[in-house]
Amino acid sequence: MEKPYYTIKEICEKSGFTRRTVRYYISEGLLDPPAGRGRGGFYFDSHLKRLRDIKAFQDQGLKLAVIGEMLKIGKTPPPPREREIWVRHHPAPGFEIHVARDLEQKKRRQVEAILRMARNLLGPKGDTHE
Amino acid sequence: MNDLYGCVTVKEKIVPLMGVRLEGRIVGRAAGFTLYQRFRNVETEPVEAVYRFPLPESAALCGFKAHVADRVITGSVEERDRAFELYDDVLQNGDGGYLLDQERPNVFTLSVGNLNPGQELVVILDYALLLNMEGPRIRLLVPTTIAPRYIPAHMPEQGGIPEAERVNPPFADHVPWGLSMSLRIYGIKKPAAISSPSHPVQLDFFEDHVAVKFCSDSVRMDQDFILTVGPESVCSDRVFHMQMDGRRFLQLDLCCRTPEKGIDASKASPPMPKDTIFVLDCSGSMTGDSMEAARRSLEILLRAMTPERRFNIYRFGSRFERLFSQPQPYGAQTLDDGLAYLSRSQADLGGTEMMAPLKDILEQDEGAALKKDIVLITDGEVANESALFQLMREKGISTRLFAVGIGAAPNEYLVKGLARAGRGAWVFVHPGERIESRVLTLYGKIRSHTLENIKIQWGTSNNGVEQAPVEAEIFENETTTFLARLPPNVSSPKAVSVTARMNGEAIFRKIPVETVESDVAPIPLLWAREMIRDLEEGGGHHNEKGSRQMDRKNGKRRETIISLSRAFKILSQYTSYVALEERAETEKSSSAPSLRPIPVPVAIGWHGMGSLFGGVVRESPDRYDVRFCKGPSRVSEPLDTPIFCRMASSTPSPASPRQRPFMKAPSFPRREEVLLEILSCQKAEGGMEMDKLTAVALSIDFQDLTRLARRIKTEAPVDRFLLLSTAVLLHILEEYFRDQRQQWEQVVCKSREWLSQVVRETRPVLKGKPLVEWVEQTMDTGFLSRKYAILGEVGDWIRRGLRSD
Repeated sequence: MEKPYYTIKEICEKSGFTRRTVRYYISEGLLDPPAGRGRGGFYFDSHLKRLRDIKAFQDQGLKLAVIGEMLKIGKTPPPPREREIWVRHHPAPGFEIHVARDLEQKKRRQVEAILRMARNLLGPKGDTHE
Repeated sequence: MNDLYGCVTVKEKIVPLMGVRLEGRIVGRAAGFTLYQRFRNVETEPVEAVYRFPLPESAALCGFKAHVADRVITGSVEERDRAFELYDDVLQNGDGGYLLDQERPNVFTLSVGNLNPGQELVVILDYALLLNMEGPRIRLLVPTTIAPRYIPAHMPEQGGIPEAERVNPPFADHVPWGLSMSLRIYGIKKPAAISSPSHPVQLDFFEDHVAVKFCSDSVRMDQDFILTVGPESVCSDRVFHMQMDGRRFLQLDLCCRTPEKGIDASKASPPMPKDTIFVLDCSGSMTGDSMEAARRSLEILLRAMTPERRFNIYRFGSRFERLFSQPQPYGAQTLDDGLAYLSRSQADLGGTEMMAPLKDILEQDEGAALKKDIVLITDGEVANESALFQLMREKGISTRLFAVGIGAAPNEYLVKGLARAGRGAWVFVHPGERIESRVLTLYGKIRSHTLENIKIQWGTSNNGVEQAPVEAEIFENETTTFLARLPPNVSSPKAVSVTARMNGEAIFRKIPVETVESDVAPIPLLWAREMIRDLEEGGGHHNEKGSRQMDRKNGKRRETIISLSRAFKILSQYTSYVALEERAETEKSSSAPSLRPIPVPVAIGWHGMGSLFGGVVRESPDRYDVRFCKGPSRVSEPLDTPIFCRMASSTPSPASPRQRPFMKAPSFPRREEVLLEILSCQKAEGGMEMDKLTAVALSIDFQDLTRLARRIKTEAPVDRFLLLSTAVLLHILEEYFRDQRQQWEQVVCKSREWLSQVVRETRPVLKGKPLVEWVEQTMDTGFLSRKYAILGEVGDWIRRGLRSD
């Protein structure tokens, strides 16, 4: 069952921002304060969405001052740009495997395993199997 | 105790900082300081005070605690994000939290969380550092405020927070608290050698130390505090050894002396790089005193240049301009062009985009072996220090950078860091100091020999020895410190050997090791600080995204810094101090604290605001106005906190910025004025032509000198007045300004060479003797003992020369 609320630790993990940054956004009015003033505090999906919107604007290259203005007037971030960066691998002659750059960094071990498998299947030894 | 509290009228928030005090001990170059910051909450709800303040950029911040009532809460070093989480957790629980972050090596942010209504506490910071040597003098620089940093347009927002939020505090034209200070200086042989160009100080002499305080109880925190000590002793090599936790640490103070044994110091100065590029900061922050100082600095340097060199002048702000499209040969015409360009230069180019002009200079003739020197004159108020250091290291292989830091509160980290990255030197010119002599000292370094290719043998083997800095060059009459940690289970060597090169000649020294027990600035601490600095400046704050190899290298560098920081309990860019105060249930804060950022005074002279020399004070918009009100009495029982510092009890009554009285312009010794008059006579191609103003300064009758010149006989046509004037002025420098040789010697090299050449070619004779011999012999030796008596007596000497036919 999904939680309707998050602790500060959870909201940081889900949004990718540090606690310092979340607190800063609250102090600057970019994010609503948590519910339950005093000790402790809880965040909701609306907080998470706001943080994700900020992240999306930042990924577009916007500075925080501009992001603040956009959020005030109710703008939402545009979809990510179509242009992406891919890494090309050549496991064997005549074969290419393309991996999105961010995936290449996040899933390095899995990518390397796939490339090893491809070399095994498609390399000279691989040919003899067929 | 003063009941006045400053109230920030913008948003009607009250400021909880009450006062700041600095105490310190100085033993030789080692200095240990304790900084006390006192807070009190006079409001009816809990507050979180956030105070951004400066420290000397080489300080090893090694202690952090909070003194609350009868409790002392000691801080520990944690990874930066983790430290914030710990701090935030205790605030959520209603307990007390104290957090100290390093934003830059010279900018720190203190957060005091859950300061309850009526509560008072003192935050205590300890730091140690090695003081800079300037020749035989020791110089202490303590910043008291942070001048606003310009944030370049494309600077990334690290962690999603704008850089301005990390380095710029809120500002106020004036604040009700001040800085009080007490220093003790030990081992001083000549008490008269202590002085401060920035503040009036009071010296009290005791058997084993001199106590230094401000003349008033406290001072405004709007400019650096500068203290110079010395000259105490000549430059000498020393090695100190200290042990800690089973490991041995060594500190080598290495000097570059002249004349070096085996080196012929009478040889011409080392060949200068062909190009000298002057870069003048014309951003808005330089308005007023700083711009005036910068123009004067640059004029001196221009006049001191030697012929057959090339030069150019860049001005920069939000954009940059340059005098010539390419460096031009130095001569009378180009000197005049340069001086005219300089006289038109104002602080009118907007922001401080320093990267663009430096890139333009470094990328010209890229790949060529042509060497150049960059002389940068700036207040350094930018936030992209690391990117600039990286640019110099990567692109400045055949370029050196010399930096002149101008103003009452320049960015020490930027100025020194750029000079380090550019293998050059730096000098700071406080408004209370004579610009010309400071800049001439730097010019001497530009032209001096250096001790280079320094290799240190720390005992029988260097295996496992960790040295910082890894490499450095040392300029003439300067001392540089190298620190080392020996591998485990290695005993301290009896001596350290150094090999180096100077002017192409090999140098060897063997220096005995002395064991010390100093707790003022422990060597292990200094070593760790230097290691961290080497790593931080080598990698930069803002690592660009790059290859995985670079990411791994940066990751390893980060881990090493964090490890050193935690082991030695000193701060770094990746670590923070955090102190956690668990409270009884009845003492916990009842609600989330309200944020109270503490404004700092605007640095005097910044952007033309205020002047140490008179001038219009401009009110700047977007500043907090401070008015004074009595705080509500919330204390139901007497506070039991020991008072570590006092309020600025003698703070002048608040006045509007327009009415603030100005400090009188500092008056400089007449002798200094005379020296500068003499140096200003130098012509571009060499030779020193006395003008009527200089003649007046020397009490010489200009007509007398002209008549004497006509009596010179020569074998070839020559400007006889210029010839006599040069010989006379050079002799006056030699005889009457020996103790300031370091300032003028390099500057007048070209005139000496000019005189030698002209004498060889024309063989001038005056009254039957070679001219130079006549000048030297005719001076009455009685003059030499009266150092300050040149005025009038030189004129008499000239008249006697005329009469002795």
